[in-house]
Amino acid sequence: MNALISGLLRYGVILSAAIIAIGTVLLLLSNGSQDISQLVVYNPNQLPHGNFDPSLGHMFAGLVALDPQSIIEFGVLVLLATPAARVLLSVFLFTAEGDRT
Amino acid sequence: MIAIEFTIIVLLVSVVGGILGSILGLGGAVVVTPLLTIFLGIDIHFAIGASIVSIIATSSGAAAAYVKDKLTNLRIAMFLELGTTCGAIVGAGLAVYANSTLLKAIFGCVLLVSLVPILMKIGEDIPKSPELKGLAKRLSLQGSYTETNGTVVRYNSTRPGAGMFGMVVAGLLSGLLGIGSGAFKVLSMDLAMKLPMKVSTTTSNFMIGVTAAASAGIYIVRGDVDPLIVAPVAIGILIGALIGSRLLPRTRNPTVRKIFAIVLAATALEMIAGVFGY
Repeated sequence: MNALISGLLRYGVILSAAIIAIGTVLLLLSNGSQDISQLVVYNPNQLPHGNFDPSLGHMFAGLVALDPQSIIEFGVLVLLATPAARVLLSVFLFTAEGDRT
Repeated sequence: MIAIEFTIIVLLVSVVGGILGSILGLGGAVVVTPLLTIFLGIDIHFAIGASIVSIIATSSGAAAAYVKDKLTNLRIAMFLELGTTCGAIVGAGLAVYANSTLLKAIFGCVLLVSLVPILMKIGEDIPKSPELKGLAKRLSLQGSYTETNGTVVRYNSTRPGAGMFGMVVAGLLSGLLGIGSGAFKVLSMDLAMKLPMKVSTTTSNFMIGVTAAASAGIYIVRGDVDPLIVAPVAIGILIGALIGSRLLPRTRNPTVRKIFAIVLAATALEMIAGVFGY
């Protein structure tokens, strides 16, 4: 059981890192020499607070268009999925073991 | 400063954050958040979004190794997670009503006060294993791991109720302040449940990812997770966690506790300084 959970986490994390790395390289290739104060903008009075759209629809469209920010966002979602997936896996494995405590 | 410089600086500091965080059962946010807010002038909301991501990265990044090495106690983690998740949900719900300045001040003071029992145990390697009885016995909250020199360490836990209470509080703080509260979890396992230090930190490490994932979705939807900021944080932390998780099994329990005490003090002071607007 340990091996399954460990494997899930390791591959999930590697996948997420690879996706984020690709997105980062693309982002720096296009915007690397821009000042960050132009790229990272927080708007307290609007939702979402940043100057990008984090919604899933926009992200999928962005993935197809190879938009770097969408790729990074996708990689982060894969990362977020790792603890969720391992909780589900653990619950499944514990009950399969007949361990009802 | 330009984007590429920013990315490299954040990446390098996040590696350090990942190493420390994975050894101590904390999220790398302890190192990353002050870098972002104090040194790089990033808005606090983006910093919190990045810290949530860094907590998940530290947790999953290191857990792969710790679970395989059997340092993380999965039964205890799963039992205690019930408490943190409930606490986190309630905490996130109450966040709108909370006075976060007051909470940070209280949290900072609690952390400082907890230094006392930690320092009293500073040289301890394996705690005198308490007798397994009551709820701890019924749930088999015990385990063993093997040190790199081959010694097998068997341990029991005690006072699971107190540990659970600590977890609910940790969860509440996570939801209210957007932190992983790994420090609190480690303290509960170390002081209340008397687990060996390395088991406490690795088990906390495993748990903080779930707590953070619970709030992460909300932060992303609100646009508080900025890709340019979180990308180097995530990658740096993952690299750091990989390194840290290789280092920890070779590190002795008292050494881990000493490093924890230093970082605990720093985190407490950081929290309190934050109250005064730093």
